Amino acid sequence: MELATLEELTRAEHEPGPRPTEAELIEAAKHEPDALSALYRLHHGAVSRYVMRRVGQANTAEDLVADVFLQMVRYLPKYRVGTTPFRAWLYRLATNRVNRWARWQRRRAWQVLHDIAQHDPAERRHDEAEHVRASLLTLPLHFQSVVALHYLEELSIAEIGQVLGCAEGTVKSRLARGRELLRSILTERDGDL
Amino acid sequence: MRDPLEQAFELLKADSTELAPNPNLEHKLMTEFNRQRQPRRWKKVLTVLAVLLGLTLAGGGIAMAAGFDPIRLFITVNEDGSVKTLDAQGNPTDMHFEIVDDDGTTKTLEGTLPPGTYQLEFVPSKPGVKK
Repeated sequence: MELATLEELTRAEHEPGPRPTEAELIEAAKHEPDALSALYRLHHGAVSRYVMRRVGQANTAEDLVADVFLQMVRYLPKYRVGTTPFRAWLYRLATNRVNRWARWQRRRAWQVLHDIAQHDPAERRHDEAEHVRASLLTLPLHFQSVVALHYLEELSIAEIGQVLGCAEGTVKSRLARGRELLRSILTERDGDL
Repeated sequence: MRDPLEQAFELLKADSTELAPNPNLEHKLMTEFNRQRQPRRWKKVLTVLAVLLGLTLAGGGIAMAAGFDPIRLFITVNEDGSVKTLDAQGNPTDMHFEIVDDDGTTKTLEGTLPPGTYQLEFVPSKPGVKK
């Protein structure tokens, strides 16, 4: 495959016209710092949005996003175009990083749910998003990942399979089980209302 | 009625914002990128050095082994004066039978030997000096 030169990649960023393909950008990013910057800027939005939705705190999310992109730089030379789609590969790095963080957050999540339940019903409306996030954090990690990728990132079953490196049947069963668990946690609180 | 789960996630999505690209992180990534390249360049240099060392040792080993074993050739001079040469394994060889003296004069063996089979031994000496 013929790679785009750095000049072409830089020009593509600032000028209208034919842009280098993602595969060209990825291959160039293995050797060219500017292409790596372009790759970072291209995917930063999606990765940070996903991490932010799962974590909720901007400072923590920033740290985790930084870790994800540092991992990207470290493992990029091993990434082969044509295997896992690049976006799915990045989601995999992000999911693994967030899961490592989430492992230590389950107790805090239960505490958050408990605190929200103590709030005034009128005040609870402001806690809705935090309540959903905390409920998600109480799920076992393999359910959290599938549910978050499906509902937050709107990935298909096949795409989630690519991200997590597991069969579609596994994704489906985890999604069904995770959905039921989450629904029971959410409706339990709604029943309290 | 909408699925409460979907409603809940809609809320969460609406609440979360995207982080802006961070120039400090970009700088960190570049530092990591350069750090990654550094050991790889050294690894390349070390690999080349290791290969060269290996070749030198192997070459030295072969030279040592060959240096003490003379190369044997068998020459058969036929009745009609034609010369047939065979190496130690009995394979025909294309050897020239010109001997160059130190003063530059050459001598050929052809026709100077009576019919029969002769064994020649080529003992390696200093490079560039033909015997």
